[in-house]
Amino acid sequence: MNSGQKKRNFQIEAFKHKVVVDPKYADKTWKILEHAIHEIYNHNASGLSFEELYRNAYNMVLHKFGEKLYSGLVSTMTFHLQEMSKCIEAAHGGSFLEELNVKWSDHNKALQMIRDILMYMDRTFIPSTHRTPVHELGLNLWRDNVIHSTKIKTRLLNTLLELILRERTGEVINRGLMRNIIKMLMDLGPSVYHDDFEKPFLEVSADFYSAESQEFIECSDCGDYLKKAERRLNEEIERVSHYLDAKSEAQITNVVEKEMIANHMLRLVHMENSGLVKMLLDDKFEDLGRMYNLFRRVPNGLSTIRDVMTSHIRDTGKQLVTDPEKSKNPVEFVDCLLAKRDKYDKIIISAFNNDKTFQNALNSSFEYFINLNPRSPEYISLFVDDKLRKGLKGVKEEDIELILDKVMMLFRYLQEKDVFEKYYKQHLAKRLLSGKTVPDDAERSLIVKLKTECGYQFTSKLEGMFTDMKTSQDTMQGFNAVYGPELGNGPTLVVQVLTTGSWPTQPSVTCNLPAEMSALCEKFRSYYLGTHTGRRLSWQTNMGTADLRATFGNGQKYELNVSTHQMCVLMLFNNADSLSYKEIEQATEIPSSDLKRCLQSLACVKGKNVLRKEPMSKDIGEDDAFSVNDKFTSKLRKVKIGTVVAQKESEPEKQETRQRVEEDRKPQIEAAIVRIMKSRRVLDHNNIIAEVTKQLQSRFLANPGEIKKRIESLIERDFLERDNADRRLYRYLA
Amino acid sequence: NHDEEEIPMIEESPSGEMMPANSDDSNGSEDVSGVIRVKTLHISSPILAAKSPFFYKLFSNGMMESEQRHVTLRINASEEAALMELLNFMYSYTLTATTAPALLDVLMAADKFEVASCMRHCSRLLRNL
Repeated sequence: MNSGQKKRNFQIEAFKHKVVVDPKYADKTWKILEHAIHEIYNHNASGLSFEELYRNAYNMVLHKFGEKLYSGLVSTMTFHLQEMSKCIEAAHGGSFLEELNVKWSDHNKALQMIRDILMYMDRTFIPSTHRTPVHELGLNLWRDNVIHSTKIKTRLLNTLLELILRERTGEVINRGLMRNIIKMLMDLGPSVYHDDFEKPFLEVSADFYSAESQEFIECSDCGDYLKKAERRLNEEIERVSHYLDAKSEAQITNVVEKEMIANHMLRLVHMENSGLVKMLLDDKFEDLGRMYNLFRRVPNGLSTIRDVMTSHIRDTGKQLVTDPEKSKNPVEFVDCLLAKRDKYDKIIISAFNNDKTFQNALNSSFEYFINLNPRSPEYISLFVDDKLRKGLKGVKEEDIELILDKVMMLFRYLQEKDVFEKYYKQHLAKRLLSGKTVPDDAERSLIVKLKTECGYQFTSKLEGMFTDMKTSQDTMQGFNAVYGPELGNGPTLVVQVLTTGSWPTQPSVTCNLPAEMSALCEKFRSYYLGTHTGRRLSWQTNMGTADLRATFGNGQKYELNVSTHQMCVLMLFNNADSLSYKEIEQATEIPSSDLKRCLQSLACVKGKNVLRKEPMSKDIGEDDAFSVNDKFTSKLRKVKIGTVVAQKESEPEKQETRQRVEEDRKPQIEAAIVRIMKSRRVLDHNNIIAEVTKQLQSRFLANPGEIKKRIESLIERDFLERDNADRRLYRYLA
Repeated sequence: NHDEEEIPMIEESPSGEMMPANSDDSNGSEDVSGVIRVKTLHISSPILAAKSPFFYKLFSNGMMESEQRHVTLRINASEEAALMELLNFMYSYTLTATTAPALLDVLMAADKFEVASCMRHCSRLLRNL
């Protein structure tokens, strides 16, 4: 700063204010102020001059009598508070709190006015001498002389606790008064509120709720108990909002939670005939919701509910999937699973706050018990089959999606997804070949869902089946264009050319077709091979259907929709009135299990019995004889004769499918091992098992024993070798 | 909406006595002996109350002055000029005083009635002299 240039003039003048000369000045001035303080406490403030009192206090401070002013204030105020304290002590019974409240309010008003006239002292003298500001001083003096006076302290606490107890037992108390008194304790500082009220309040409350919960639990069921606990909890929260410090809410609710819930949690959950299991069984959403909301407040509360729910779902689920009655009808079986899933879904959404951990528990429980029944994949596929065949007629598109989504949900639980695929392929093949218009959108939608879930590989063959259907249509058009005119009124042939590998074809024996049909088939074979060289066609007569026009003895004409095998059987009766089982078997060369089923559906189903059997019985015997049922009638001109397909597979078929699944798994396991070893080069046994299992998880649960066998097979074929030093280590051989 | 009030300013004799000697009556009203002159000013109580906690309480805290249309402010003769400056400042934010002694007097008055804006203003002017 170069202030050297500027010229500054400082003049020091004598201080103009006169120095006090009157030695009695301070005493006189204090007397005026002391008198004023008395007047203020006596409600006579309106007669005092603020200007005069402020000026006097100002002058005292200005002339270094701040100390005298301050100590005078302390003793005068103390005197008044002691007077007040005596009045309060003298108050009888119920008027005690009222009196305390009135005096508190008086003191506050007085304190405000005293603070006003001593404003100058508050602003200058007090900070510079580190004294307690006037307002705080007033509160401290009140605390020490009134609230902590021996005759008031315990009486105050007891009165407050007594009032709260009375309110808890249903009486109406003066909440406004309570609020004022509690507010006073809070104004006096957090420690006063805590030590003189909150701490003992919490202790008394704990005793109260401990006793009450004991009493409740002895005489109420779980639902009622929870209602009472919830009401108590809400009451306490409401009490806090009405007249306690907001910070007390967490603590008092904590007391109620601990005494009423945490201490009785297990007993409540397991209460016979009213506990959690009963609520789940009866769909008591409201009670369950209440339990969830109360239990979530205490440590381990939710896990307690979750554990009981989990074991209940597991137990009932296990019962369901292992119940032989339920297993009889796959559709019903899956319906039960879906109903169960819906039930718990609804409970979790509406009562358990859609809690993620509960959903996970539900999912893992389902995964657990669905896989207990090895036929679950088959049944789920059969369920889809049933829905797509008939169930979806007249059902809206959104509902179809809904059902498919539910099926997918069950599918996700399956550990053996490849088994599902096997069955799904079989069922899809039957649907596609049945010639009935299946809801194509629904079929494709499900394929898309499976693809999203399991990847391209999983569905590529399924998609191949759809492609074959389309190609076959084109092929037939071409065939008909060439041979149509020539064939005239003869039987019509529709051929579906199925790519080997995509379809669940079995190396089945081709049965003997009726002469007119086999001629037609030969024509098609030469047409097809003429356009597609290098291919081989074999007839899957077990998968076809036929429409026959039949005229019965009474002249009635019907159109019969039957399977290819049934067609072969029925055509025999064009040349014979009666045939024995043996004769039919010889003529058609249909495998006996198929033939029996096919005859059963032609002769033993009421309303569709176009054949008559001797003797009449439900089952087909080797010695039975068959003839055309001349008395056959039907309301419909078209009669669909379904094969009595054991909807679900018979025991040997099941074994066979199982075996094929196992066979199919082998290359998948090997591929996984090679993939892993290629990237890792060296890996020990346990890690290979773990990684392979993980890789294949989305399709099936690989059996460690089987993995070991595959590893050995790969070692034999020089894909891998054992480490020479450590036999548990495998090396990849490029 | 007329917020004007009259404030008679009673000036005391500059005799060195801050208080009249015989103020022994107990009702607080002061002896008017030693009063030099009374000056009546019209002021706006909201403006003064907004600028000074003293005036705010004077007009509202429930004592005698809260009910009065004429409020008396008793000062020393030596304080008059400074008080007039202070009142003026509360309306206009300007001071006519320029000398250090005069500004010091205004600062004293501002401190007495807790007119913070004026205290800051005076301090600034004094620093920049």
